[in-house]
Amino acid sequence: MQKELEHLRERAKEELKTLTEQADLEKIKIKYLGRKGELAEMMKKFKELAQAERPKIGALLNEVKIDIEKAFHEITKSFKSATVSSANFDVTLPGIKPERGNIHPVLQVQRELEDLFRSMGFKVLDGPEVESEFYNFEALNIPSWHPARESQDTFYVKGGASDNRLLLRTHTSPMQVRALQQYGVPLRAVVPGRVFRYEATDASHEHTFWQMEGLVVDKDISVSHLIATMKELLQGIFYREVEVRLRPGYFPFVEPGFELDIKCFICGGTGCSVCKQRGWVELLPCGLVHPKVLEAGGVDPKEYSGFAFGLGLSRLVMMRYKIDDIRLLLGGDLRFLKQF
Amino acid sequence: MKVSFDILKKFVTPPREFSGRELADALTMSTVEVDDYTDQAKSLAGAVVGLVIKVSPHPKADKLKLATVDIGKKEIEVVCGGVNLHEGMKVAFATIGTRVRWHGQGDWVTLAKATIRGVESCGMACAAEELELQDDKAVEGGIMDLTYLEVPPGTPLAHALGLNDIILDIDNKSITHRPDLWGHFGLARELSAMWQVPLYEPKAPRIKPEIDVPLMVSVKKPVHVGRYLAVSVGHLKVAPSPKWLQSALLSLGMRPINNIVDVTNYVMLELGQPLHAFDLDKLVSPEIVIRQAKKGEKFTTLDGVERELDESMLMIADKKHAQAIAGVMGGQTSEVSNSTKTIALESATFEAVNIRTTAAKLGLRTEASARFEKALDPNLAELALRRAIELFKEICPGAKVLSPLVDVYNNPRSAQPIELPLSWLFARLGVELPQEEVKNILERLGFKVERTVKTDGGTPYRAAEGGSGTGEDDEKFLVTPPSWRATRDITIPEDLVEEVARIYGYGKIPLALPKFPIEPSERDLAQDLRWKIRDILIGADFIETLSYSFISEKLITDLADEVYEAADINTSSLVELLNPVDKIQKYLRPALLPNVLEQFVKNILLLPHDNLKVFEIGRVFFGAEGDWSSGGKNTSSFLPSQPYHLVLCQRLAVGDVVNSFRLLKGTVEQILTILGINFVFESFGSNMAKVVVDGKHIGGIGIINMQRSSLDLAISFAEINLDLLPQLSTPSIYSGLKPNDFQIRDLSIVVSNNVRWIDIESGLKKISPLIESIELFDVYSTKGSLAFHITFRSPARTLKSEEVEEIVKQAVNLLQNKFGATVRS
Repeated sequence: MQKELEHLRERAKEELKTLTEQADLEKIKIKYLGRKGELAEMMKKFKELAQAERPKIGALLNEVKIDIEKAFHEITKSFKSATVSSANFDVTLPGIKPERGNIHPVLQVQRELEDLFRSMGFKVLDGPEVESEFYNFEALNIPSWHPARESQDTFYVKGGASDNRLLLRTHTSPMQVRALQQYGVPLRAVVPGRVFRYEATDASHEHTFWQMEGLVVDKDISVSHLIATMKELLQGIFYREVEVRLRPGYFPFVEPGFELDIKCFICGGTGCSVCKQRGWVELLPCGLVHPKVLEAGGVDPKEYSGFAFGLGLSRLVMMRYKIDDIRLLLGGDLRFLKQF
Repeated sequence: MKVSFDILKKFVTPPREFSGRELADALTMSTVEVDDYTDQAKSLAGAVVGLVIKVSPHPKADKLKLATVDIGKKEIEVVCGGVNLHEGMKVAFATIGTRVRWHGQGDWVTLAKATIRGVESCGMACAAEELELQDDKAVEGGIMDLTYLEVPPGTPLAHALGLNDIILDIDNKSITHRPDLWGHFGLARELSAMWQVPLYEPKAPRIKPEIDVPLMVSVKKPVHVGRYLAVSVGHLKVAPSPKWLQSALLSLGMRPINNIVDVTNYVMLELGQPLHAFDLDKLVSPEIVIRQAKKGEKFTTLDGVERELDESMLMIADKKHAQAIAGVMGGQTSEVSNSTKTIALESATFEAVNIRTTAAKLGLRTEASARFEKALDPNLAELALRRAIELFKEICPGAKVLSPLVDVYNNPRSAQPIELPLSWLFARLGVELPQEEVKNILERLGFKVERTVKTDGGTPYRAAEGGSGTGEDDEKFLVTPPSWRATRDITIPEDLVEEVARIYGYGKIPLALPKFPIEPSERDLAQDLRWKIRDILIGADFIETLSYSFISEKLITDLADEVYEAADINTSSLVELLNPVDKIQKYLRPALLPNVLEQFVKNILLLPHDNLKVFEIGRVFFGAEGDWSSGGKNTSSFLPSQPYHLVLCQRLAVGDVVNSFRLLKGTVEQILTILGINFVFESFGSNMAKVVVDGKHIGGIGIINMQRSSLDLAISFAEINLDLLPQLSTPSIYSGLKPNDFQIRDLSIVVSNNVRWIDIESGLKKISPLIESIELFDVYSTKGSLAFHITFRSPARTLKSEEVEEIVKQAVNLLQNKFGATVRS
């Protein structure tokens, strides 16, 4: 039996060596390794052997089986690679990219922020672009004499009432009051969108740009909550530890009002041309919601307080992608749009 | 607004040395935004007074000279081109390392050793502009002549010129709410509160008439005049101001004019109160009348411009003629001139909104109006007048006060105290401070603080939860703002939160995240749908663009009415801007297509060999009332309709128009199918179709032919109203697996071009319910040749070949007989 086994091993190897057609491989495999193949036959014989012979023959049987399987494995591999390389194939040929469009950079950043805020339980709201004086100014505690109301800052639209003219919203803040009216308190919401300022355009000024308003109203919201939340959010936006500072800033719809600065990423606070030697970059205005705004939203300022902030979405986009001319955002040039 | 540290230091002593940046930071963090600062000594570091001891010609250049300059410790040889260079001259000498700007232009550079035409030069004798200095006696092509300075060579230039100041540039926008910060004194008060150092109040003497000549003031429009003070001053001699006054004005960005005008301007910059001097001899009588302007009244202001007024404006006049637009600008008649000897000096407060409105109507914003419109402190008006008289006496030694002080003060108001519950304050801040600290901060800012006991049934504001306990919940301060903050600025307890927090320091407030319940945020189906469409489109190789909301009438009418009709776009009630930036672009877009098409054509000309596919999602506008309320008193009025639209534009660089159109149509089909919307296309016009869902017309598709730069452009487009889609969209439902048991037959036919595919398809489908679908796979439109697969399937059983062949036979008959087609296989 020992000789039979060794002979079997030799025959199988020999047959595989002379093999040329891949189709024959399977036949040979069945012949030797199949359920009724030669090795299986040997197995049967083995079971009939006397106890004394078994250990030695058993070991050999195992060894032959492994050897034949190995030989098959080798030859199978060589067949597989041979099918590809037979076509004189050059792996250095360039890849063919599937065609795919892209989302506008402003919307890409907007979506990222929407996801971030949703993950923190904020509603994402959408407001009208043609607004009324009431929501854009009056409800936000911007009285009629305020400079923001002058036509040099605001696009006015024909129609509306003489005491409540129509305009293009100058910020996303009108949704603060609309949201409070619609959803009540407690409220966490952001409002991304297109806003308009009466302004001549150049590389850094646009009459049309994007903002994202944020509003949190609940019981006992404090300055401390505002700073802590802003810090968390900015870390979510910039994917890094952000050092922030608050300083006084005047916006009629918040009291107290702040400008929030972040420590300059470029110089780390020592001063460079990006931060105009200040070490800090002005990023967003924010503050505690003015009691008059809460009242306009139908919320009792004695019971509730809140904070609001305004992210300059267009500016964030320009910072992120190092875009040096704001007009590119609305220019529609495909050489620009294809880069994102 | 420019602010000088030297002038601030007259009112407050800094507790230590401050650099420009430190001072700017201190103010920025607690009070106002400092845009920029100039540290004069620092920017002149390295520059010294040099004495030219020898001048000799340059061996290789005619226009250059060699100069030996004594700079105290040593003598230095330099090359110089100054035409006025001479021995014995004192010059502004920049040593190696000084910051200079070549010929006053371009960037600042640090001066290095240079070899000029073969001669080494170790420094530079500068012209004023090369160091950004002023030079009244500058010579064309010359350098700064400092021979008049009585200082030894080597004296630092900043020191020699008295330029050790720090000039801050304050962002005016950051003080629009602060009437008290429009002068140095107000800012010094902030610094004194911040640094906890004493404030030296200006103490100008009371005004006493020296000769009793009456000056009359009659106020005809008291509602617009808070307080009006005037006094006449005589025996004046108009002359240039002394050097200190001139250079103070210059460094604050103001041009010196003459001693009278300069004093009024200086007091305004120092204290924040605008003053006006009238030449009293030019008035018909010594009587000042404050009246409203007449409608259509003409008045020529100091700047020589004749302005037309209306009744809302307030005028300062004599008995006959207008002399000034109150709070805005004086007139030419009574302007102080070289011959002026007697003046009436005005110091007033006017109703702020009225001044703002007048300045806005006239388009005339002045230093004075910028201050008056902030609602100035009436107490300041008196102080400023005294200060001006004090300065007149100092500068014009003979000057005498002629009249008694006239003071018209209409209903002086005393500031109302504000209740400040401490637990409420701490809840807003998010930190609890010692009561003494709160009181101290407010008092340093000039507030009057009284501690009160509980007087009524509870605090007006909710106390902090689990607040300080121990009965302190009832502690309240009664806080009265000082006169300079009481005109408009501080009225509610929230205002006091800011005062305490900014002086305490925002940076010292500990951080704590608010506690929120864990709850998922509501989704907005319309928003989700727009994101979904973006994802589908980028998968279909479309690039998202954004275009302006503004549009010209021409661009709208350039497109055929048919296009708008196909897409159900209303162009008859455009929304119009009252004040467009560009007069032509005065409408809001009624559709996305025209603007995007305009961008698209530019792209084709730039990239003629590319397949171009773009889309935009955005709001369009038309006059009908939409869903948003306008708010305010009239709750039944609504904003114009502003639905979201989607526009697609496509052009393929190769392949025919039909293919391009079919690809675009397929994209629309794909979007609607993925959104679960059942739609049909209804042919419209020559090469367009309406998209109809449930009988609602939601948009259109088609081909637009344009000619640009001698190119014939055929652009496929689609525009769809997305606001109609969310309610039409149904989620997909699993319909079971179909047995993989179907048969396909291919047919190829040639048919006349005026037979439409939709008729062929629906005709064939009617033959048998066993025809599951017909898929067109090849079109040669020029030859009218079409090829398609017909799929046969029965939901119940396996089809026999014979029955399929029978249906095919019927199909061939139909094609031949009804459509006149030639069937090729």
